[in-house]
Amino acid sequence: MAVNVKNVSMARGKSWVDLTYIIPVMKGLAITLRHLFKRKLVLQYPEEKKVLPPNYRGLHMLTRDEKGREKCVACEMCSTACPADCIRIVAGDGGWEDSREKHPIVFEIDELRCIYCGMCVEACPEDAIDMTDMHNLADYTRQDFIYDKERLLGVYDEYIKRHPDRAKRRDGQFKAMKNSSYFTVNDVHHSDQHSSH
Amino acid sequence: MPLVKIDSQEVEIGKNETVFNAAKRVGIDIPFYCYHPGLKIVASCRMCLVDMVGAPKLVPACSTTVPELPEAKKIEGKFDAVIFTDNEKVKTARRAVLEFLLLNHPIDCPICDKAGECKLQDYSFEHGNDASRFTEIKRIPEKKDLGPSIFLYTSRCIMCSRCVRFTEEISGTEELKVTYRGWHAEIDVAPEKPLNNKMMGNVVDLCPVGCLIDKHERFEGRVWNFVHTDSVCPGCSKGCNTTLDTMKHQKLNLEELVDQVYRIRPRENMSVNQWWICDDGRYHLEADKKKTRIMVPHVKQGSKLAEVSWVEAMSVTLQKIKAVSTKEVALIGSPYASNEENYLLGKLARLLGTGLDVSKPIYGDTQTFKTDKNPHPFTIESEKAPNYRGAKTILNLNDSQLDKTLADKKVVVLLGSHNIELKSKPETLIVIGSFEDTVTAQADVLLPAALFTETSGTYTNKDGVVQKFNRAINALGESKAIWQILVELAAGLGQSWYYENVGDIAKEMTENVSAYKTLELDKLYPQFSTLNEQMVV
Amino acid sequence: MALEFSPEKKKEVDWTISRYPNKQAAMLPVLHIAQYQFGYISHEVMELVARTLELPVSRVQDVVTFYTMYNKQPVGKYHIQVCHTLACGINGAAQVVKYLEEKCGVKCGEGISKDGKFSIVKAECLGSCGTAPMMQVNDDYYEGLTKSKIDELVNKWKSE
Repeated sequence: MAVNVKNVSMARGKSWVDLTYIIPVMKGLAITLRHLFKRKLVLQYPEEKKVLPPNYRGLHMLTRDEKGREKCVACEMCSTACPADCIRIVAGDGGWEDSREKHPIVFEIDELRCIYCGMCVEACPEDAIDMTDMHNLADYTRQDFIYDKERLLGVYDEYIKRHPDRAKRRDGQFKAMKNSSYFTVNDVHHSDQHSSH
Repeated sequence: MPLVKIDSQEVEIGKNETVFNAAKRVGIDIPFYCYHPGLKIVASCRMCLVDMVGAPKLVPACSTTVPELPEAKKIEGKFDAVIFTDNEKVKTARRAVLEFLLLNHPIDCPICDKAGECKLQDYSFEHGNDASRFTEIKRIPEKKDLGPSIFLYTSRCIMCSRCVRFTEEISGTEELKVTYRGWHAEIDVAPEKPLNNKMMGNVVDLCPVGCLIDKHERFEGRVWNFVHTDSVCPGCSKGCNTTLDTMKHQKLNLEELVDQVYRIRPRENMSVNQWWICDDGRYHLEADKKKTRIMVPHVKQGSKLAEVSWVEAMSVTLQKIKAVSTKEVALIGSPYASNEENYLLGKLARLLGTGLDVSKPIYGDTQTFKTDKNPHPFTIESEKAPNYRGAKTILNLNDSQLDKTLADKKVVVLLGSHNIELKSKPETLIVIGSFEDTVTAQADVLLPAALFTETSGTYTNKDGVVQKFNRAINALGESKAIWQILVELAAGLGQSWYYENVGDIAKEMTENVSAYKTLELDKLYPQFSTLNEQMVV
Repeated sequence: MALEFSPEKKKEVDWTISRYPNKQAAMLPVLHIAQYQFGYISHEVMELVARTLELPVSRVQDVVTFYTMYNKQPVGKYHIQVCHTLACGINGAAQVVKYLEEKCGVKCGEGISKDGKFSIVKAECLGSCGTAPMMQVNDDYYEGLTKSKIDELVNKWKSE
C-alpha cells in the first residue's frame, strides 16, 4: 500500500495573507470573546466551592438516633459488603435495660483503603452509615485516616450543621421508605414476569 | 423390605425406618426443625410434611414409617408407598408453616448471632413466602437469663422443643420446660432452678434459631466470617470430636482477629461423643485464657528465668544434656502431647539410651448423664488428659513411675508441665510447656510449646480410638510445635531427622509401633490418600 | 419453712396417689387438692407437689401453666369465672362481666377486690350453654344470669 507523504515543514503555495496568520488569530480571539459572555464553569477553588449533589460519595458518617447515640447495631453488613475490607467493627452489649441489644464498641473505617463505592450504605439495614460531600481529606500520617466511631459521628454533626435541609430530607425519606411497601419485598415478582415474556 | 418411591427415586426402607431417613439416604433433603437424630421424635414443627399417596392429608416425614403392603395392594404394582417431597401441595404447606413461624418472630437478624446458620433464615429463603401478610402487632416477650451461660431470646423461639427434650433425655436434669400454651407458650426454667449443668452448652447448638444464645460467644463475630477446623477435645480421655471456629484469613478487616479460636462446637461421631460435648471442653479455651501463656524461651539466670532467643535456649539445653552421660538423662513423655510427639521423644530416648517415662495425667471429677431414654449416656472422664493410653502404647510403657525413673537422673526433659508432681527437683530441669505453673517455675530451661489448636497430630482416647486434630491458628508468640522442638533437639544431639510435617512422623510411627500397624493413615492424613491415588494413575 | 399439706389433705393425697399406677400420674388431682388448701398455686406449692410426687419442679410448672383452671395468682374468697364462649357471649357475657366489675369493685383478670372477697376471670365454655349466660363461682354454677340475680348474689356474698 502506498503511503501518502505530506511535507508540513513549509507553507508552500499559500498566499501572504495566510502567512501572516491574522485570520486564524482573529478566529481564536472571537472564540475567547464569545466565552466572556457565557456562564462561567471554573470555580476559584478553594475560595469558592462547588455544591455537590446529595448522593455524592465522599467521607463516611455514622448517623445518630433521636437520643444522640449511634444508630449502628454492629451487624457487620457493611464490613461484609465492603470490597476493600476497610471497615472494622467490634460489637458489644448494649445493656440489658437499654432497648438496644447490640452496638459497636469499635467502628473504624480506613478512608485510604476505601474505594468510595457506597456498598456499605446500600447494605446498612439501619441507615446508620451514609456518605457526605466531604472529599478534601488531608492529614499528616496514614494512621490519621483511620476514622474511629467518635470521629465518624463527628462527621455527621458537621454534616447536618452544613446541610440542615438535607439531613431533614434524609430522615424523611428513610421514614417514608420504612412505612411504604419497600420492606414487603413485592419486587421479587418482577423476575418471574420477565421470564414469562 | 418395603419399597418406596420418593419423588422419582426407588428406595428400600427398613421396617422401623422413617421416610425422613430414607429420603436422606438417597440425597433428598427434607426441611425440619424439631427433628434431631439424638432426641425423641415429636413431629411438632410440621416443617417436614410430605405428600404420601393414599394418606388423607400430608404426613410428617420424621415420624412416618412404611409397612409392607400385601402383593395385591401394591401401588403401581410394586411400591408400598409413593411419596412426593416437593410437589405443589407440599410446597404450599411449607410456605404456610413458615408463615406461621414468622408471625411472632422478630426479624432481628442483624443483631442475632445465629444469622448465617439459622434454619429459619435458610428455609424462609428456600421455601418461604417472599412477603409478609401479617399486619398485626407482633408478640415480643422479654428475653430471659436462664443460667450462668445461656440467654433465652424468648421472642425468637419457634417452639421446636429440642432444648427441652435435651434436658429431659440427654442431660437428664430437666431444667427447661415449655410453660403456658398456645401462642403464650414459652421456654422457661423454674425460679431458683437455673439451667446449670455440665452439658448446657449443647442446647445452643440444638436451637435451630437464635433463641438460645451462649453468653461466652455473644457478639464475638458473624458466623459467615468463621472458618471451621476439625479437632479433638483435649479435656479428658473421652476424646470428643469438635470443630474449632476461627476467623477467615483472607479478609483484611479481620486481620487482627485471626489467631484466636472463637468457639468450640461438637462434631458428630457416633462411636465417641454422638452429637454432644460437655461444657468443660466447650469453654476450656476460656479457662486457658486465665492462665499465663509462655510466649518466648526462658533460661534460668541466677535465681530468675530470663527471656532469651530460641538459638540461645537451644544451645543451653544441648550444653546441659551433653554435660552429663546419657544414662543420667531422662526424657519424659506426656499424656497431653500427641502420639506423634511422644513417638519422636521415645525414638530420641532409645537412640541415645536415656531414661524414658511418661508423666501422670491429672485426675478430676467424673460425671455420667444417665437417663432411661438415652442409650449412649454421656460421660465426662476423670482422666483429664487426652492421650495417656496413646502415650503409654507408643513409648511401650506401663503406668507412670516417675519417681523411680527420676531417682538417679541429673537432666530431665519434660514434655508438657501440667503441674506434674516432682518429688525433688533434678539438677537440671528442661520443660517444653505452654502455661506457667509450679513446674515451669522450677525449670532451668523453658521452651514454649504450641497448643493443640496450633498444631496437628493424633490422640488415642481411652477406648483406643485414634483421632486427628488439625491446626486452626498460628502458634502464639515464639512458641513452636513440640515435634519441631524435638527435631531441633535431636539435630543438636547428632541425629539428622527430616520430617516435612506431622504426617511423615505418623507414617513412620505406624511402621515402627506394632499397635498402630493397622492404623488407616490415609483417613487421618489426607495427604497420603491423594498420594496413593496419584500413584495408581 | 417449706409448705406442707394439712393432715387431712395429706391423707387425701396419699389416697389419690394410691389409685394411680405411678406417683407422677397423680399430678392433676394432687394439684387440685393443693389448690383447695392453699387457694392458688404459688411457686412454693409447686415445690411441695414436686416433692410429694418425686418430680422436678419444672415439670410441675409445665403442667400448672398449661391448664387455666389452676390459679397462678391469689384469688378472692369468691372466684368468679364468667363463661364468654359462643352461647354465653351472644347472650351478654360481656355485660355480665362489666356489671360484675361494677358490683364487686375489681377489674376482670386484675387480682382481688379490696375486701378480698372477689376476683373475676373470663372462662372458656363451661358446658352449660342451654342456660346462658352463666358463671362459675368456686365450684358452683349460677345460670341464666340477669342483673337482679347478680345483685342478689353479690349482695349476699358481700354481707357474709
